[in-house]
Amino acid sequence: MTVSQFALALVVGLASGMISYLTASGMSLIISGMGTINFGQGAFYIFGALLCYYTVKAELPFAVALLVGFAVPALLGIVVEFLLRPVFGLDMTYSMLITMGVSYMLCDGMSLMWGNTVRATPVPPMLNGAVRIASMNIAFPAYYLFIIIFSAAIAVAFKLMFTRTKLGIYFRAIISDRHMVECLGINVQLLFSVMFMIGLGLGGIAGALNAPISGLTPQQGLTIFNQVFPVLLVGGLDNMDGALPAALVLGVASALAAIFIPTYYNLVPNVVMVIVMFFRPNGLFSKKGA
Amino acid sequence: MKKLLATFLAGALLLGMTACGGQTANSGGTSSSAPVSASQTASEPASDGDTIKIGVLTYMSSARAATMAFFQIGWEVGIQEINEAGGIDGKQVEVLLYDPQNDAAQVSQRLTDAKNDGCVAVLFAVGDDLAPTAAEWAEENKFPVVFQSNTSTEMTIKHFSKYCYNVGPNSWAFAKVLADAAVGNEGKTNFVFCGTDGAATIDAENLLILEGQKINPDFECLASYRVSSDDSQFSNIISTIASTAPDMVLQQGGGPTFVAFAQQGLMFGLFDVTDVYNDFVVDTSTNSSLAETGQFPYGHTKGLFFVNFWDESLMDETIKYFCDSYMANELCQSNGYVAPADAGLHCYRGIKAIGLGLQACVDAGSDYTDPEVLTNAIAGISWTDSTGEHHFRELDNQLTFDYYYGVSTQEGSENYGGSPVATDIVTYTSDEVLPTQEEMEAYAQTLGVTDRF
Repeated sequence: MTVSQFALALVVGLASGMISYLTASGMSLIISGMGTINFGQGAFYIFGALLCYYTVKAELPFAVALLVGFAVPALLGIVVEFLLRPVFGLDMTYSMLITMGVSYMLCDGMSLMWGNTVRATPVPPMLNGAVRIASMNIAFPAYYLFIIIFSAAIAVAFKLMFTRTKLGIYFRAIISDRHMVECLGINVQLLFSVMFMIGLGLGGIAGALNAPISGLTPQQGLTIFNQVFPVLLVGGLDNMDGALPAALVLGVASALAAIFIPTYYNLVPNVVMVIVMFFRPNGLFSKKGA
Repeated sequence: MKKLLATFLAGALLLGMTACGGQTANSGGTSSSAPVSASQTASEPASDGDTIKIGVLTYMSSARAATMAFFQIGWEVGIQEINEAGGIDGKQVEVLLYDPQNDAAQVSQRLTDAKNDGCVAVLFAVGDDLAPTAAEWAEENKFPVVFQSNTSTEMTIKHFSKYCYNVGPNSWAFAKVLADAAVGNEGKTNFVFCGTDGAATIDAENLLILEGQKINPDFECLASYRVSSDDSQFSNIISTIASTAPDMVLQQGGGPTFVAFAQQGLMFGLFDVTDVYNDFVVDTSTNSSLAETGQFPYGHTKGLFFVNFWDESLMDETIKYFCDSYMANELCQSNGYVAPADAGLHCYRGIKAIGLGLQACVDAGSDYTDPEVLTNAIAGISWTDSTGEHHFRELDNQLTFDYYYGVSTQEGSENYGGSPVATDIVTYTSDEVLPTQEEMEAYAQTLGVTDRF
């Protein structure tokens, strides 16, 4: 493997990892805060992607498409959280079935509204080039660099929101002791709605970011979850801080596997997940250890 | 934590199991652009005894439903042609739809449903990965099934059945065409395989090595990448292939798989260092969305196609009828499709073959509701049009037709929304590219199959 091959694999792995991170972190936030698993995240990912496609098709700027890809799924998050209220605190099977049901409804709704035809979103013109390093004879696609930088900015903003803002303090308080927060007279229900908005919005924007590099159909919303699954388990289900390193490790490992074991490269994330589950069921990056 | 983990794993398992199908068996996966009338779904009882029913297994749910409408228009044109000519035995022909939900376990049940609903035969408009299961069912139930999917050696050698007829492209013929064109004429010495893991796509890789080495013993496969048909993010392998710069890439998997492949390939400069070969060079079901957004790599995709929709001078009345009816079809117009798709032609041929079999039964005064009788009748049908002479080979029940090799081009595509047409076309007849019995026997031995011939 040459240095340029390694550098390219690194960029691809990081970009792929960052998209997985955005999707997974939205789920992780909801798991940590509410103890509920949102199995509909894949549907909101595709929803965000298709919103991006139609916004770009309407000749609006790509930045607007990203915003729409975040905002509309985030608004739907209020509805999903509302649907979950009656089963909150009950066995998690109920919330699992509801979020799965929402996922099917959303995917079928998109099929009804937009049809099942495959769609291709054009790359924004200013990002449709390559950053070349002549001395290394290597060219990094500008859009992949954009994915890394943009997602990293979101990750930083997300972290700052959590550690430096009042909303973040509330979120952390709910994660630590939800009942105590309720006793303090804080509107926990409203905070849950905001959590769902952010969680689904992150899924939506991940899809919007990925739209220019993948063919889109509504029914893909039911399979995206499989790609996020290893990230969540390797990072630790209720460990929000674990999602980023897990996504990056798996993204880069997968990219390097494509070079060394091409026929079996797509097994790598799942193999890593099984190994981690065996030795550290709480996740590789969880402080709880085994 | 354990409970959370257990719920998560249970949910993931459930989602994983159902994701492929996506919907309930007969729900139809309806959409405004690809309507499936309730009266056509399997949940409805057979309408009445005055129609002849043909079952169609197809994707109405899952990501693979994305290209279903292109198939559907094809079989609708086939049915339209039969009914416009007065039907068969004084009866109109109708289609009942069944969705196996992209799940091999459901294939047998849906085929049984079709049989129980009074269908005389089934058109299998589903991927080649599910075809062997259907072939086993057909053999067990002695019921005629016509396959539009790409024909693999799983169908012609491992699971051969006299009740299965293949109207789709033969993977061995595909390999022979590519070997002749790419290895023989263009001097390619190596390739990288990148495709989904259906039986025919695996054949395409293995048989290209076999046929390529007959022309150049040094011809080799540098790497083999298998992607899931659900996977849309494989930049890691695209970037690796681009840095490897093979002589050619054998790409398999249409629809969203090829769209993602092309988009990512453009970003990593894949098409600057190599050309991509597949079997949907001008197929609108896959190429239109890329063309619409100016992302189609004209000139860099080469390979097979089956209908010259852009050149009327090459069409006879039959193919012109197919193309005109396809474009006039309500579903085609509501979806804004720009040209007939290859997959539609295969479905049209499948219905036509069943229709000719039924007519042969009527002409002979035999009972077409007897599956054995209809199976034998389908074996004997034949017709000729501008895409070649058509009959089912006794050796493997493969329909014969011409295979066109060409290079995608933008010139002339303006009438089709930019969807590519082909240039530098070479026509191969079935006699030239379908495998001989000797070749199949030798290959069967490598597969460990000893009782096929």
